[in-house]
Amino acid sequence: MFPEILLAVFVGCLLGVVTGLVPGVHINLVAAILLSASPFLLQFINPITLAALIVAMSIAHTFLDFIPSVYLGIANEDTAMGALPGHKMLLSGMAHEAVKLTVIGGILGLATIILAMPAALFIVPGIYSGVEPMIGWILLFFILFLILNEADSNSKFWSFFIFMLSGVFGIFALGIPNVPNALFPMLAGLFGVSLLINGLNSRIILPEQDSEKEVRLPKKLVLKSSFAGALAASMVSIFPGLGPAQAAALVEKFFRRMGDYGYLIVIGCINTVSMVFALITTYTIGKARNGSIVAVDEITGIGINELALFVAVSVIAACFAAFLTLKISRIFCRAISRVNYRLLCVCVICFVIILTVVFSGFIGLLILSVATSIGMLSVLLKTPKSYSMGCLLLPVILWFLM
Amino acid sequence: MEEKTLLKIAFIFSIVGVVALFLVSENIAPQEIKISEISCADSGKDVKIHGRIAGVDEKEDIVVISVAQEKIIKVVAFKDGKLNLQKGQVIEVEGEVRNYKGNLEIVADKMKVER
Repeated sequence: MFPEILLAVFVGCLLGVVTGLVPGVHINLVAAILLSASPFLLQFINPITLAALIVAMSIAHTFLDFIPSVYLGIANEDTAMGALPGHKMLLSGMAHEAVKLTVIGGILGLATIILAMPAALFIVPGIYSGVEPMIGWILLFFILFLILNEADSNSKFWSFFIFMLSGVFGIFALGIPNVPNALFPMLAGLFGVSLLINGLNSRIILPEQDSEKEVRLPKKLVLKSSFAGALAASMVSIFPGLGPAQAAALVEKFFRRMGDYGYLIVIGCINTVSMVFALITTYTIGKARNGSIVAVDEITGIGINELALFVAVSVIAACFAAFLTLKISRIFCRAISRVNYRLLCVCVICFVIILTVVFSGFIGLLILSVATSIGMLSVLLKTPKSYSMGCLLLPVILWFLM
Repeated sequence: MEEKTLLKIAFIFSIVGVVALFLVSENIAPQEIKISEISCADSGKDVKIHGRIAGVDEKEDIVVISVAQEKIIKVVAFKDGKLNLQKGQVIEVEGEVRNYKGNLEIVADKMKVER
């Protein structure tokens, strides 16, 4: 059994490399495919092994998916908030260091949540039963709090405007029947293509990337960032409709002065912690907040023994994924310095357009265009990117309140 | 291109685009399908069905409705207190086909009691 599970972790990590690096291929999609194929696969492997493979894939994904976000500007809902600081470091020739900071965050976040797990197992059910009747109001209050904490009335107004515009956009876009994977063009437009177009317009010249350049961060900042990320990820994991982007926005407001480097550690931490915390919420309150953990729950269920095993699998997968991420990042670092950045941006935009047509059809193109326009507005109006997550948050708030 | 011009273009495109999406979402309806024609290939698709309520099973947060035509399919809906569902009523359901533990069911977005 142990060699089988180790092999599953290895294969899962390799799948995580694919899902992390290839835009549009999400772990939820692969997990759904594996779940659908499970009657066939379970003739050859036992359910625990298959579930371990999915967990390993999911953890590896949380490390690898920062690579396309930093180097190519293709962000998704998990990496969206890291797109801007990652992009800034790319423009400073330190893309590899940006990826390294997210890896540090992922590893430290995992360590933090494992240490906190005994307490979390007791606290989560109590918190959830207390807040469940008020989830809609809590989410609304959370957003209003963020908006009202903006620096001046101009920022408040435009932040509110972007939140509402992206929220209404999300309601309409997600409400069109039979548009598969509408989330991909929505988020690619808001957080990826808009950034790339802005970069093209600004005539950005990509400097030489130096994978040896390092930033020296005080240990206190590193630990503070990891703790903040783990705490925020744990809190938002209890709520439906909230995810890594909202957790990052929460940290941005409550833990100021951590700068872009600290923020990248936070983002890396949040992604990995969210995945592990989904195991905890499934075990304690029966709510899996992401698709791959839903698949795991369907295949084996998550009792205390399974939880312990999957946490162990997460640790092994995280170590392997961290190694792979840094290796692959160095490859990207060398490759990207040799390409024409403007041409690369155009190619990435064309690639996203092709993927959109393939995954979501021509209505997906309309969604991509509108999302890109709103994303560009957010960049040009200098509003924080977290408000563009209104596309997911406003529909959830309205669902709970109405 | 000047930032001001780009801002104007982005603003106009955003507003026009959102309006266009509203019109598209209002004018595209899910395809109506017979319950007997629903298969695993329809998993993830939005469909519309008509049928008679053969059973109502109320759970904590959801209600599971058995809707019959030539075949029976389960429809899962979140409780909202607005619909009073009873056996024998004819119902129209729009929702997404899902495969739950090997059985096809529809997670309802909209439901309307016809008679």
